[in-house]
Parts: sequence; structure tokens; C-alpha cells
Amino acid sequence: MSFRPVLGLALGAMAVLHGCAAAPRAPATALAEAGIKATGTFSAEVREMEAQLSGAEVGEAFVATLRRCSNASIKCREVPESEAVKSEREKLADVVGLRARALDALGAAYAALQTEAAYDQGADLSGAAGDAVKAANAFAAEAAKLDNGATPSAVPATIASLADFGFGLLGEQLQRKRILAASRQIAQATLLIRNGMVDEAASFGRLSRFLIGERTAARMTLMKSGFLARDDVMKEVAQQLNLNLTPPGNVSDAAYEMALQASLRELSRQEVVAAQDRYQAGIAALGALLQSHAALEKGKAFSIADVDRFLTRLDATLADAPPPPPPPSGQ
Amino acid sequence: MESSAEDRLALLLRLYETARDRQDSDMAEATSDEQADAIENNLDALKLNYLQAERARLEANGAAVEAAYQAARAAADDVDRAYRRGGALADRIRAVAGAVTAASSLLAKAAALA
Repeated sequence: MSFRPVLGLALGAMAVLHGCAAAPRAPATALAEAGIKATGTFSAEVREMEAQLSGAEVGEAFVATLRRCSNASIKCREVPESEAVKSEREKLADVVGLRARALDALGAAYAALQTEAAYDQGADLSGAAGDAVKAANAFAAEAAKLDNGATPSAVPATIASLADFGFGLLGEQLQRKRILAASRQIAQATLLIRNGMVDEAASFGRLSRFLIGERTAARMTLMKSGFLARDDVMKEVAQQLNLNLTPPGNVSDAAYEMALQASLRELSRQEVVAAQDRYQAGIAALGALLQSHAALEKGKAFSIADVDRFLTRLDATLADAPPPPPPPSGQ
Repeated sequence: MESSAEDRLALLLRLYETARDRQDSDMAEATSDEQADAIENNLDALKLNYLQAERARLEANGAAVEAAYQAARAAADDVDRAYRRGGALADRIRAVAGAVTAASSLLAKAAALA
């Protein structure tokens, strides 16, 4: 994962509306920019999980075969991932992909809002907002289908409604205003996606743990077989301790390997916590966006600093995350 | 207290992780193709169970589901005990195979409506 610099353009920007009579272009632009950033960052996180789920079989086959063939007492043969597991991983990746597609459609709606508000150019605002709602509903429907057939568009009672974010009734006057009407539609899609994400947070957490655990197990096998240099793992340990460590010559091989193994497990645990934190930051960013939408409708002053604060958290943990090991190519 | 879908999913993930994190040492100890195949097949089955459960959710309730959950918990404890005691590989393979059976039963019962 590469470090993405936090966009500071709108950081702390205070957008103030002066009544509802004029089209609220400046605050809508700020809100749209925040929406583009939030959906883009969150979508990247979800797509990363989709990619890891759908593309694990090459590394799996290498490591499983290496493990088997390292034991001279048993017959060496290729150990590909079973078709059943492969198929199930792909199905799960498709479900995860729906979340990413919903976020991307929402990002497109924010981009249309930005074009309309910032440049006074006619964008297909209602089309983009409609697409976002459609994608959000597809995501919600999938989640509901898995949830024993609950009504697809129904938001569970325990989950937030627009009113929870300060929205009032949608009056006729509001519907006549193109930007505000689109803002409300986009907010509905944002709410659906946010609620779906909240509902699936536990599942995302488990899948993160599963995927990171798979990677760690593979790294351990590769380290024991000599394909992954112990020094590389040692560097990560030293980085965490903020020290320059040099393995002494008299440390036993077994002790060194066991210590590195324990460190790998701990690094893996930290990675899981960081992934869950990023997910929560993404949800919080969507919630902050909803509050901004409500303020926009009411003509109240709002700041998108909250959205940026959550995105900063997301970016910071992405920057901290250790890169995945390179695939064992050429073997 | 009745188990939740989250409890069941967490248990299935734990069962898989326990076997996965010991596969290096188990495979290194294997003395026959049968043992090696059993280690691989057990791991594959536990992984499949977890992935299917994650997609299907495990939200069905009832006495049969609860009994399957308790049986899977007991099987998980058996596996932990077998590894903690450092028993023979054959015993550990048997314990993991028991966990596979229990996990499959839990999945079949709790995902019945999905």
C-alpha cells in the first residue's frame, strides 16, 4: 500500500451559507471535495481486501507445496488450493466488491456535485446521484439477502437514520433546488452505505484477521525455508523498537527463529488492529459527510474538518502498515 | 446464554487458525503420505467451512444449532489440549479431524436458512 498524502486543500475549511435563496455553491463544492476524498480512500481500502481475497491462490500453492516437499519422508507433489476453497474465496470477493462499487458510484455522484457547484456546469447530477442510490441499494440488498431475507432497502432499527444526522423533512422548496435535491439524494446513498458498513464491520474485521493471518503464516513458512531473509523481519522488529539491532553471533539459531516468529505474530496482530481502525475511520468519515449534508440543507455553517480528520487517521494507518511480502516469483 | 452468529463465526475462524498456525510443524513431523494428506485435507476443510460461514452468516437459531455450537467449542478445546500436551502427531490429526466434523455440522445447521 502506498502512502497517500493527505489532501489539505479543504482541511479546516469553514463553509458558511447565507440563507437558502441562492444556490449554495461554495459549501456544496467543499462538501463534494470531501465526499470524493472519503469515498476514494475508503473504496481503496475495500478494493485491497477484494484483491487479496480473489488473488491468493498463487502464493498459497507455492507455500503449501514448499511445506509438503520440505519433508523428505513424504511424497513431494504439487499442492494447489482446492477448487471448493478457490470458488468460495471468489464468491466472498464478489460480495466485498459490491461495497467498493457502491463507494465508487457514490464518489461519482460527489464528482458530479462538484462539477455543478464549482464550475456552474451542467453535470448529470440526478443521474449520478441515482446511480449512487442504486449501487448503495445493491450493496444493502446483498447484505440483507445474507441476513436471512430482510427487506433489502430497510435500514435496521438499531442503525442510524437521516434524522440522526440532523436532517429535517424534505420540503417542496428544497426539491426545487437542484443542488440541494441532489445533496439529499447523495446523502441517502451515503447513509445506506454507511449503515451497511456498520452492519458488516465485524465481518470485515474477521476477514482482515483471516487475510493477515494467511500472509503471516506464509511469511513464517518462507522464513523457515530461507526464502525470506531473517534480516528483513529483524528490520521490522528494530523499527518497532526504534533501535538499531544487530543479532549477536552467539545467539542460537532456534532462539533467533522463535523470537522472530513471535515478532511476526505480534506485527500481524498490530496490522489487524490498524485495518479495523481504518475501517472505523472510513465509517466515521461517512457520518461526518452526512452531518455536512444536513447543515448544507439547513443553510447552516459547517466545517469539513471532521471528514479530513478521519481521512488523516485512515492515511496515517495506511502509511504505517507494513507492505505485503513480494510474491515468490521465479520459483 | 444462546450463542450469536458472531460467536459462531469467531469459533470457526479460531478452529481454522489453530490448524493453520501449526501446519509447518505438523507437516515437518509427518512420517507418511497419509498423515501429510490428512493434515492438508483437514486444513482445507476448516478453511472452506470458515469462508462459507462468512458468506452465509450463521444466524439460524434453535436447540440443534446451539448443540452444534457447543460441540464445536468442545472440539476446539480438544484441539488446544492435544497441542498443549504435545502428543503424538496422529492424536493431533485426529483431534483436528474431530474439529472438522464439528465445524461442518455447525455450518450446516446455523446456515440452514441462508
